[in-house]
Amino acid sequence: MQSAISETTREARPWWSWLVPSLGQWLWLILLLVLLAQPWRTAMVAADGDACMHWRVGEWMLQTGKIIRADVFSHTRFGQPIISKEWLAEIPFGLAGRVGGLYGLGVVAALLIATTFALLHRQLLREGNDIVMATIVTLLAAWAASTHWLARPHVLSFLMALLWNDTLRRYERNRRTLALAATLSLLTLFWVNLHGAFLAGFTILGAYWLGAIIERDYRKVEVLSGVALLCAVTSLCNPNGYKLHLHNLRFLHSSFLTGWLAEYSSSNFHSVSSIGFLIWLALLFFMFVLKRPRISPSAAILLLSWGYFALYAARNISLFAILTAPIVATSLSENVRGKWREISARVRQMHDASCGWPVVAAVAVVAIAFVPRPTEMPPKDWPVGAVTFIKTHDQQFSGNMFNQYAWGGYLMQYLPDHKVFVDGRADFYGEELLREFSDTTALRTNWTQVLQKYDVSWTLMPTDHRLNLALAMLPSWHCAYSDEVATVFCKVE
Amino acid sequence: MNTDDYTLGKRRWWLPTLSLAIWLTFFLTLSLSSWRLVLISADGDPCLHWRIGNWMIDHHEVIRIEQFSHTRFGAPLVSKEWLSEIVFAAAGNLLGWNGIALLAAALIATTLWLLHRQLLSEGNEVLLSTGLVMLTACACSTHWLARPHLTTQLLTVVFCWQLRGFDRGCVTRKRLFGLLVPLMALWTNLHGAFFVGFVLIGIYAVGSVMDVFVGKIENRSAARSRVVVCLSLLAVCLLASLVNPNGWRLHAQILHFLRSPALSTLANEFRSPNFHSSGTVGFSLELLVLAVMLLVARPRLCPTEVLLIGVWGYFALHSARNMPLFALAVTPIFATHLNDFLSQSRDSHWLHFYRKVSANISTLDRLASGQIHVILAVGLLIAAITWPVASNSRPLITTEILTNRFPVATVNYLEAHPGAVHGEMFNDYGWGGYLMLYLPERKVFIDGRNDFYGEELLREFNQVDDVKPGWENVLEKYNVGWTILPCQHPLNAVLALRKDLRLVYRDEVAAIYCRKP
Repeated sequence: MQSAISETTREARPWWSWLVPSLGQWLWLILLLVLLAQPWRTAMVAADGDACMHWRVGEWMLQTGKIIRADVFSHTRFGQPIISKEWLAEIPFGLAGRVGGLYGLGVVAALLIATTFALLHRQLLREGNDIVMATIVTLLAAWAASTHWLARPHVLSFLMALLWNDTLRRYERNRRTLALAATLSLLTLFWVNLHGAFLAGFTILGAYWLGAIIERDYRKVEVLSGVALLCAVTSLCNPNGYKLHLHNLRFLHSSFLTGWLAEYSSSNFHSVSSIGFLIWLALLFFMFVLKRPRISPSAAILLLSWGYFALYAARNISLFAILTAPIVATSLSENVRGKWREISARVRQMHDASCGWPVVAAVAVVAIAFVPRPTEMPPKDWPVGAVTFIKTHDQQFSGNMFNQYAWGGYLMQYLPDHKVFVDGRADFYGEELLREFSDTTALRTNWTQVLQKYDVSWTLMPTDHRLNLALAMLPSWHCAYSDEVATVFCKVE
Repeated sequence: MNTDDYTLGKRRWWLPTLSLAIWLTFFLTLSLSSWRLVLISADGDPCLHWRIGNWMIDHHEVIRIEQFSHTRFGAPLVSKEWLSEIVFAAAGNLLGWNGIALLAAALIATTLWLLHRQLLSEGNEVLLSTGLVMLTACACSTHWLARPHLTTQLLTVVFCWQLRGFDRGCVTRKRLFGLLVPLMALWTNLHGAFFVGFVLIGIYAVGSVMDVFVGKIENRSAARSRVVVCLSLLAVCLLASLVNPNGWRLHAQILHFLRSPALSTLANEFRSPNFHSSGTVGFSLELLVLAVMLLVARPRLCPTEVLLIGVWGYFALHSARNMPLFALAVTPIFATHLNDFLSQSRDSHWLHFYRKVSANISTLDRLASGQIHVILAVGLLIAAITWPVASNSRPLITTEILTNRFPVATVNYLEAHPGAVHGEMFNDYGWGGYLMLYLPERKVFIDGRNDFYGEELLREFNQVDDVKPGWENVLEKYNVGWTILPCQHPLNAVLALRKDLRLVYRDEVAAIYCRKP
């Protein structure tokens, strides 16, 4: 019925419809433009050092023409075998960085985020939801997810999770086993090489599988079990095979490593950035309290499991919003009545009639390519001055560096001739090294031994860091550079 | 045994009711297991309250001027929990840490006993009620510490019970005012979180207003009268809350504290819950029960219930210390709707089994009496604690502050060598209360009363504690002559490099650095 309407609309489409974007296209364009504007553009690349780190790793792979398998960026773990979880995503990021610098990274992330939410909107409409409700739900989901909008490979996981969930929901409606198996195995093939969070796909599949068991739909259980097996086998098609899975599981099992990373910590509801998540939780609560919808067991399990994951680690909030948006939209659309329904019908008519993608594409190309948008790491947060000093006095800095954890990725990119002590790849560095790093920055009793062990001859730390105060008291160290952001201490020869 | 026994009045004196069994279980577990050490040693605040309570007992007056810190010595003090501090100190003076642990265990057990009584009195199945009380206990356990806030948990149950009863027409207006107004006056003097009472009454008032507009037409006049009663109760309770040694200043101080993020986020318990920690398991389970209730039972919640869950859910996500209050406020709602769902569900094998077990336990519970167990348990415990002291024999139950968490040996050293340090002290934030109690002759830099110390002093403390530039100036400003900090504290490493300071003492827990004379 839906496609019949679309066919009719397409046949009778007037010339002006090619100039008017549909609601989904507007959504895509607005999100893209918002993300390319300040402060988002800078926030996406400068929230932490990982955007630079992935750019650097991608650049290395582009230069050498091979997938990275041993560390070349740190002196603490130089030459150690590395499990690259996101090599396929790092290459386009590296390419974008090569073409457009930090702005290029921002453009790739903005395109991916805008596309994810435009596709979410499209999915909600295809499932027959009210168009106004679908738009509101998409915008609220985007708000909740915005806590983790950064120019890093994980934004590909947003897209993959959306497509994965959409495929499973389609299967629930049309029961086309072959399409399900083909799509999910293809998505697995990409996801496993794009980002380490591909395990989320299996969790989503598990929710549908459990739902099928509760419903006693044994045919569905068989199909989903088979597809899960197929996807598991497909997921071995990556440069590290099963080692990637083991590496990820080991990381998730380590409470030290997950506790180390800020994005794995639980949401801080004192912070303004958690308002979107709070509103999403309130929306779910009021929806169930006031509308009392009946939802399928798989939807309930998806909601409960991802609700818990989102409370457990703030980085899961985005996936929680994307995965539960169809449940919310369906439940709320069922209750749309009266005037709202009339307005929706009119909006839907306009939406179906419009096909302004050439205009949207043209505006996007102009916005990306022709409007100058210099993007830099803010010198008030990043050691820009210190890096310039080190570059101009390179002979003073021949030995090993000790650096602030969050600055590691930035230094990898902007001081490529020097190897870092540590950077954002906590899973690669492992618990032992991170403990040593933490002991040094906390000035625990062994802090000087750690510096000796790794033969550190200069440090680059925030100016107000306690390590600088301690080094200033040691006669064997002297301050080589200091500004409001960073201070460099060098060992006296 | 059948229901006839009950009607014939053959009560079993030796059989405690399930509610009493809950009281006994929690009281004995908390008093006799290693929980009692957690109750007193989780932070330094039990020591702090004991010390302040002792001061008030010794001086026969409510504390109004600061006595324990050198940084704010002589400054006016608004004491939020003077009455509980006196009670805790009296228990401590009588039976030592055993007495404080026993008092805390009794408060916790009574809270859960009251909740169980409430659930049963509202007509819920005994098995479901017991399960939910256990779940609530799990959620509350994260904040089971021997401190005055336990009185807030107890009074929250009483307020929730009475307000819910009034909302359902089971409690009269007279009883509501007669019970809650004096209790509010008491609460104000027991603990600073007496604002919880206003929030609860406010929620019922707003819920009744919503009933007036969206409720059934035939119920609207009753809702209107409930609005008037709730608003009057709020006003009278507000007046009753002024009956405290500091009058309205107490309210002003608490509001100032709650509105200052710098003050409230310094204490861990005011931060958002960390779902990585085992302390949030109970709260997670409460959220799971809420989700299951909404997804499976799909009850029609009244506006007050929606507000209670929504408001306390938000408070719990905002501050971990509200997780127990969330559990205590919403458990009766869960019980009612899950009970309705279970009683209306189609009979299945499992449900049949559940109903049979529940009915049997219910019958037993009606036959039970057994208050004697409570008297026996309390009496025996007190005897077990006091008898060895009186007879100079080896104590049967010893409750002491954990030596691996607090600088016990360090304090012993300072007592033995009072001349080893000079000048004022700089101490670890978490140890402030302990040092107040065990080194009463010395004044602390800071302790757990962050609302009293204020933002400026806390900022200065953090500057030294985090070893930020300018830390020496803060120590000079307050004439600090010596520091007592955990031995892995970053400041120790910096002090060790200073030529004007020397290491006086060090063990596995703490280190003391002192300025050279």
